[in-house]
Amino acid sequence: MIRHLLVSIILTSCLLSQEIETFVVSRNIDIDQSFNFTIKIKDIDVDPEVDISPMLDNFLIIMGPNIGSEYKFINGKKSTSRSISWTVISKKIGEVKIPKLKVILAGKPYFTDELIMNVSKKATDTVSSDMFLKIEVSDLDVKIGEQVIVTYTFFTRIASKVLSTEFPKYKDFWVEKLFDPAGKEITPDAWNDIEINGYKYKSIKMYEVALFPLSEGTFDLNSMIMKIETKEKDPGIRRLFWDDPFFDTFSQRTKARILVSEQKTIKVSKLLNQPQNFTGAVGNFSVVSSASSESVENGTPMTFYLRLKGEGNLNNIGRPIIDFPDDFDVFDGEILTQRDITDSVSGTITWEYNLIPRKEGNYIIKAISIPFFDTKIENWNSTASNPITLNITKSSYIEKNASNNGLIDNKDIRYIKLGDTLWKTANSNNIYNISFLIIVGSILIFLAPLFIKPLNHFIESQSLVFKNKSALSNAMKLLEFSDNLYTDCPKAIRAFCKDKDLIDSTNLDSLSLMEQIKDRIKLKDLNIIEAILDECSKYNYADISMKESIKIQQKTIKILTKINGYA
Amino acid sequence: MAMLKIFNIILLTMGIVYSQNMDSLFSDGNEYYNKNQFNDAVEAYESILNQGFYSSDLYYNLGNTYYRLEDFANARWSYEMGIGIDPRNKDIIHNLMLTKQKIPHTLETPDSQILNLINTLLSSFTYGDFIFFSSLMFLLYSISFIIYRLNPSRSIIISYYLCMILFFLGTSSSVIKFLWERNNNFGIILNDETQLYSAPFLNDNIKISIFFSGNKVKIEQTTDKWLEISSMDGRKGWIRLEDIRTLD
Repeated sequence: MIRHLLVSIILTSCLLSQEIETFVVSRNIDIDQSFNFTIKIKDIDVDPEVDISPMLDNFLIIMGPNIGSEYKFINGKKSTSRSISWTVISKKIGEVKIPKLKVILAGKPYFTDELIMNVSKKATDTVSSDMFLKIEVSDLDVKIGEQVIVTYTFFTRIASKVLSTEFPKYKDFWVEKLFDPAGKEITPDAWNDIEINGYKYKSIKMYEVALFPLSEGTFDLNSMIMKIETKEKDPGIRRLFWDDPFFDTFSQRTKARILVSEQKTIKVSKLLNQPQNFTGAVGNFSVVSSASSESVENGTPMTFYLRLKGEGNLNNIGRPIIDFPDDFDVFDGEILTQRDITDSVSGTITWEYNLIPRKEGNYIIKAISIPFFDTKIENWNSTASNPITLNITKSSYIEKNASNNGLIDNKDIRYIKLGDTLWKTANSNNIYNISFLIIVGSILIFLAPLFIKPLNHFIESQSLVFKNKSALSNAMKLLEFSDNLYTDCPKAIRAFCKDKDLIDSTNLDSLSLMEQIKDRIKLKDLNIIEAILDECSKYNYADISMKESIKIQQKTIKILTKINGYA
Repeated sequence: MAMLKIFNIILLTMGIVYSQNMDSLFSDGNEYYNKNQFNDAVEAYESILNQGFYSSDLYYNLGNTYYRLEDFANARWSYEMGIGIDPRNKDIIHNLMLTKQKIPHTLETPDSQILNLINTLLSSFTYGDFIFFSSLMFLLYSISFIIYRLNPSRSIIISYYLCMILFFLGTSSSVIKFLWERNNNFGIILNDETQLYSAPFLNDNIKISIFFSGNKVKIEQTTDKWLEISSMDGRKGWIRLEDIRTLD
């Protein structure tokens, strides 16, 4: 605990005693001259954290931060210091301030002192130098909204390679990039040969923008900064006569250089005497109008196009207000802007208006005049489209319904329903229940063939069992109500045998009957049956006494009862 | 078992009582209508709806009452709801057509033969009609199948295939109708000059356009207070829930 306390006290005392210094080698520099900016903190052992964002508005960091430590022993006393440095370049000319920077040491904030740098234009003539970055501005005195083309071109007499670029930012302008090298590969073919003051240069366009001033005033265009790697002749090695002075790499050494373009100032003045329906067009334009269809049915949506073509601030022009006929519903549609790919400066803007006609007839959309400030004549001008005639025909939809159904004959609604009504609720679903039952029934019908065959088998088997059981009683009934026992006894025997499934048919003669039942009943009983059948056959047409008839009846009943017991 | 019987009797009695109550409210509404007391008629009809009961006649009468009150947006809503239940009701179709003529700035779908045919087919029958038709066709198909198996004569074979085709047509139509109803929810704009916003927030900077009352719009999605809608002319945006009456 005590040890912690001591360490804290020592650390705190160290921090409190810290001295922070900021310094540069020289405060007077040229615009394209890089310099080292260093912050030095004495009596510290930890790395400081520095927030340099406040100085990035005026300066560009080329390299850094580099952190260094210094130990000194003076009269046996040790002192330590840390330095943190950056290589920077100014973006502006004049007195440029390095603001107070926040330095955090062991969690505590400290602030550096301010430094004022005197940045001057490059003293030497750029044209005579071996490489430079040139800015070209199409016009330095313009009106609000007038197009200004700014081009940055790199000129060089020695082999070089672009390491990095810092493109300027334009706060008070609407910017449209016309040429941006980002993502593009610079091939040797892209370089142009040009002679300036007797020197042969190679040049390449680095950046091009179209600026449209948004307000009046005087505005500085910041410099573009490029970091270049050059191959220059090593003074220690003699160049041979066959060496190419431009692309030769032999006997050369690489060197990093910073190029800064010249600063320009643009004066923007107000547009005076603006016309009443001015929507911001500045440049040189022509307008045309068209419709998606010039003959449509009543109620059918259509689109009206107003297309402005020319050179100027296409993206800053407001939608013109058009006086359409009162019988049209008007809705604002899309706005399409298209730049001409051949020059990237001119282009078109198309405003769409969605129209829905509400009455039949011929309508004229009058000529639409768009005023603009003509930058060629430096005065107000206007362009107008041709009038368009629209033919709105009767709606076939309404007409067809009216004629086919006779629905629109009556101009008043039909009367209310006065009788009882069938109430429904969210849960009432009778039609679905009925449909479900129908579907289930249909499925059963579909599956019926699968069930019919076994059912028939079952019914047949049940029928046989029933017949078997009732065979004797059926035979007895036949004999009981018989008028002629000699005829009916064989019938009863045949019926009994058929019901017992002993024979195939009741229409068999006696021999066939005996043949079929011989294996199914006992021999003794077979003989009795044979005797009965013979007797009946013999006395069928004879006049026999009642007593004899009853005898044969009883005999038949007896034998059938006996056979019923086991067959 | 006895308990179940008692429960069924109670339910049946309640159903009859409710139904009588609805009938009485309905006839009250009709009486008010006859006496030109349209506000009272609307109250009677709407109270039936609030209790969860409805019928095509109720929507028809309610639509007529709103029409008389010159509330054409609600009248259209009522007729559209009535058509949803009874799509071939000529009285509702007639009155709806007249109501549409009274609505200013109506947005209708562009006229197209194919679209009209599809629209007529889909809107002339309810989903229940399609299901019922399909089940009937299935029944005929199964009967003709049995007859075909018992007696495969030429006429039976023809009717068998005809029933099969009609059954598949009915089933396909049911599926299409089901998908159509599930994916197409509509609503009627109730308030005049309903503001359309590009996002579900009240902010002047995101106002897109204006809708007029009585127009039918498609509902894309909903939140608790806002609805995203799209219209026949291609506009899409958000409106407040109180500005619309949904057709569901």
